[in-house]
Amino acid sequence: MAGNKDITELLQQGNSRALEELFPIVYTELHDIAAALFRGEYRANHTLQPTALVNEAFVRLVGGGKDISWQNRAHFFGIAARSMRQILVNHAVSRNAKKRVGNKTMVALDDAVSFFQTRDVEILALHEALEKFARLDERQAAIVELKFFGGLKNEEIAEILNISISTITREWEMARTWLYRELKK
Amino acid sequence: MLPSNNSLDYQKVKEVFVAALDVVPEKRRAFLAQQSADAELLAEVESLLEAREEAGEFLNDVSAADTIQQLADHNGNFIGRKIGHYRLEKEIGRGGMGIVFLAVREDFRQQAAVKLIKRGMDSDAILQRFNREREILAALNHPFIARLTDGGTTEDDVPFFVMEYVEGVPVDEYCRSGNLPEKEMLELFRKICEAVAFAHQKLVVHRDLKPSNILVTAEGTPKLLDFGIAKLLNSTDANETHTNQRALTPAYASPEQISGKPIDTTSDVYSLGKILAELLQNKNAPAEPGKSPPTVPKNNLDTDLQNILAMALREDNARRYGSVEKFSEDLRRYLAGLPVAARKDTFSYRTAKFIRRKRYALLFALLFGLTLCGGLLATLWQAREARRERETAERRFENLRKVSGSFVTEIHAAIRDLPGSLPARQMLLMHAVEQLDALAAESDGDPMLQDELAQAYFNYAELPDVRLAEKDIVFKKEIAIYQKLIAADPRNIHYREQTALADLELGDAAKVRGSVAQGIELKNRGVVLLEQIAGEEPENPAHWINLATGCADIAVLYMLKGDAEAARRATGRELAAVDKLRELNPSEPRIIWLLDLAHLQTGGEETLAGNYESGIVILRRSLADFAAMQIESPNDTRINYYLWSANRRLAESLETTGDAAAASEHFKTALAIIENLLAESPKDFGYHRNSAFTNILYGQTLARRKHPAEAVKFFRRAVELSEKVVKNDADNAESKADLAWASGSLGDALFQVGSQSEGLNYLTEAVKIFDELCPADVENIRLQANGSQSRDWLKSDSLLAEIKK
Repeated sequence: MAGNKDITELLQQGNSRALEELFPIVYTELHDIAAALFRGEYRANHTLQPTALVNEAFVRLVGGGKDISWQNRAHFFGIAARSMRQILVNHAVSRNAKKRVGNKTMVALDDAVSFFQTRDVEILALHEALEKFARLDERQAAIVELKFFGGLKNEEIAEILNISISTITREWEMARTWLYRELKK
Repeated sequence: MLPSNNSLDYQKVKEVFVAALDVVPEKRRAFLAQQSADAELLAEVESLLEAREEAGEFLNDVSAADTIQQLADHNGNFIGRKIGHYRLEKEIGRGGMGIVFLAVREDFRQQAAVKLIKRGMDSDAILQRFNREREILAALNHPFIARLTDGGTTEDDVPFFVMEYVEGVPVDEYCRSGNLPEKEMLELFRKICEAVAFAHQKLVVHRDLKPSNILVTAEGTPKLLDFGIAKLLNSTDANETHTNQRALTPAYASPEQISGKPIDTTSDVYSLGKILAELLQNKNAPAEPGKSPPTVPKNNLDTDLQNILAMALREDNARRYGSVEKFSEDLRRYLAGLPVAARKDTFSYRTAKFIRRKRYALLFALLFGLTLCGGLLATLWQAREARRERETAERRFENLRKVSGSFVTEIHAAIRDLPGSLPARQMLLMHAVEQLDALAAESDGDPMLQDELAQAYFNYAELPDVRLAEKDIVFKKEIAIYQKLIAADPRNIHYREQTALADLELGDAAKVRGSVAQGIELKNRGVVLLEQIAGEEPENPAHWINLATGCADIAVLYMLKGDAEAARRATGRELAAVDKLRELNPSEPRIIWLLDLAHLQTGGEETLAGNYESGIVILRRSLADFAAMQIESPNDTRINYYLWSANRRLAESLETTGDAAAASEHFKTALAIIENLLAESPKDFGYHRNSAFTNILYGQTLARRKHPAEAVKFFRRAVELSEKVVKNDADNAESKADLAWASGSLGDALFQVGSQSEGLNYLTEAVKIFDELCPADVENIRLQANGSQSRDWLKSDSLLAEIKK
């Protein structure tokens, strides 16, 4: 695995190739953190809020990150949010695969129960809708990714995307409306 | 479908949408119109604005992080933990109620499956219930059911079960991978049925049967798992008679489970049917990916097997196999080449089966039989001819003049709505009918006399205490007379109208005899004819009155069937007829009560459709109207009857909305009215019935409000009244159903006040009657619902009694 220094360097390069190289690193790290969380390992020593998963990964991979420019932070969190999305999508796919018996997919309600007990947001459907949405408005899709999958706050997103908080509020409002309608179809 | 987004400029949409968000909703339409003339764009923005209203807190109140939290909560805490004597090793399954782990008992190195109940499902009530279930499930000792060995709660109060760990594969996989021949597969399936039936005997319904819950070991032994959402058939808690919000697997769940209605063992019959259908389907043609399990696979299946599946999978649980044993028995019969019960037992079917088994013996029998029949028929024919001649000769035409049909009809019409006139009407008409029977055959040549006779028949048959079998005969006699008359004079409106009215009456009789479906069919026939007639002679108000009444009648039957939509349509037709009537003669006195009748009906329909509030408003209005009419004509039995009906229906609606005080008031008024009518005409069995009905409803209101002792009084009265009706006429299925309903309610109330054995006796009696009636009148939803209720009570009360012992 790449060391802290490499990551900082890759972030600083900021080109698409560097980001491509970064993705598996961030993904693996986040996956490990999530898995440890699943196993309850965090319970023993310190508590980790799942919302802070991405930040935890940042600290682990980049260190304090004091010398990282906001552009580089933006790159990192963009990748981290994308990774979180991928982790959840993969998890959902593998769970669905387990549910598959032979050639048929059995839809079990408990899938919906274990994901999002409070609201029925189906991760795969949301993922697909978001793909479609990104073709209409990339920035709004990015906001959704950072906010929903990355668990980042509006202030953090504003900083990452370098736009005002009020713009984020409005764009978010529209994006979730669009996605709601799309998922309801 | 919305306009394709591709053709729209999303940025423009965004601009307008975001701007519109700052405008108050009332002004948005005007605002949008100013923004653009592009209709497509505006439609898109409006669609989004609408979606935003609906979206609520979508994505706001939940994030991906919550998912992780949940996943972490679920198993993170448990692997490696010791629960009871067991150490959890790994997760092997996950369901709606919890997670299943493979665990090892450390002292014996014995494997087991430990099921932990999911967090959030550990409220006090659920824990209490869980403990009770655990005890009962522990009694499910059967070689084909994974044994429950232990259970309890962890130190942090998470309930758990310990079950036998089964090393096997899901039944569908087992059948597929072993490429099991049909015969062996059905035999395996019958073992599964045996296990389910065993659980049923122990008063446990599985409720979540699916292939993944049925494992088959390497030796081919099936093992049922996961009584996780199993329900005790008893349940003293009203909530438990329903599926609750428990997770279930929709692909295998019965319609009643999905719709949250009370369920019983036939729900498991349905799920088993689904599983078998899937196994057979897999065998015959591998299903396409993504397809839900089949209903009834049609291809390559023996018709008997198709019929068996169809019967197990019937939507209406009353028409399914009554038990898993019966389902299994039919499969056994199929395997043995015997006729199966699932098929309508028609002659040709039985013959086909018979022929297949005994081809040659039969051929001889058939030839012999034909010879014999020929001779017998000839003999019978001769005997009948001789008798007919003799009887004709003995008839006396004088009989014709002993009674004047028109005289009887007129007097009868004059007294029919007077209170207490029943004995007089009875005497008058019974005497008439005695003579009429004698006259009917002889008066062929005189249409007027025939017509009078027919009307006298009608009047007689309409009497409320004529036995149903007799009613049927007399109405049919009437119809036969008119049919003859119509044959001679096909366009005669009067004759046709009389036939139609008789059809309406026959429809009523059919309902009372226990067939709502037949009632609807007959009444529809009558109404169609009345409609034709009104169309042919639209200036005659009498036709519209008849039509309106007929439509009102049929609406009532649709209500019994639970079809609010059809009832509403019928009431709509009634109102249309009343409109015509008003056009012809605005001062026709019957308009008012026809309208009120329609209102009364509409109120009931609204209630049935779940619109209680508007139903109540309408019922209150029609009640006020009838009350006003009653002040005008206090002795008019018909108005009093409608006043009873309005009070009773209003009370039912109020009860449904939970307004117990108001409901009680109207029930009491309804009871007073109907008991008064009954006191005036103590032989009117219609009033008996309606009073019984009202007594039950009021009793149930009391029982529901935890006054079982009070309720007992009213239930006893209902039993007494219904018993009288049934005693008078054993064919009266409606009152039999009331008797069962009253007995069941009485039984449960008695049980609650401590008279256990008397209560159980009544409940047993009730269930016995319901079992007899329910299969014959499947469309009658009230009957079906009352039947399941009594069954549930009996089960729960017996179990409670058992436990107390």
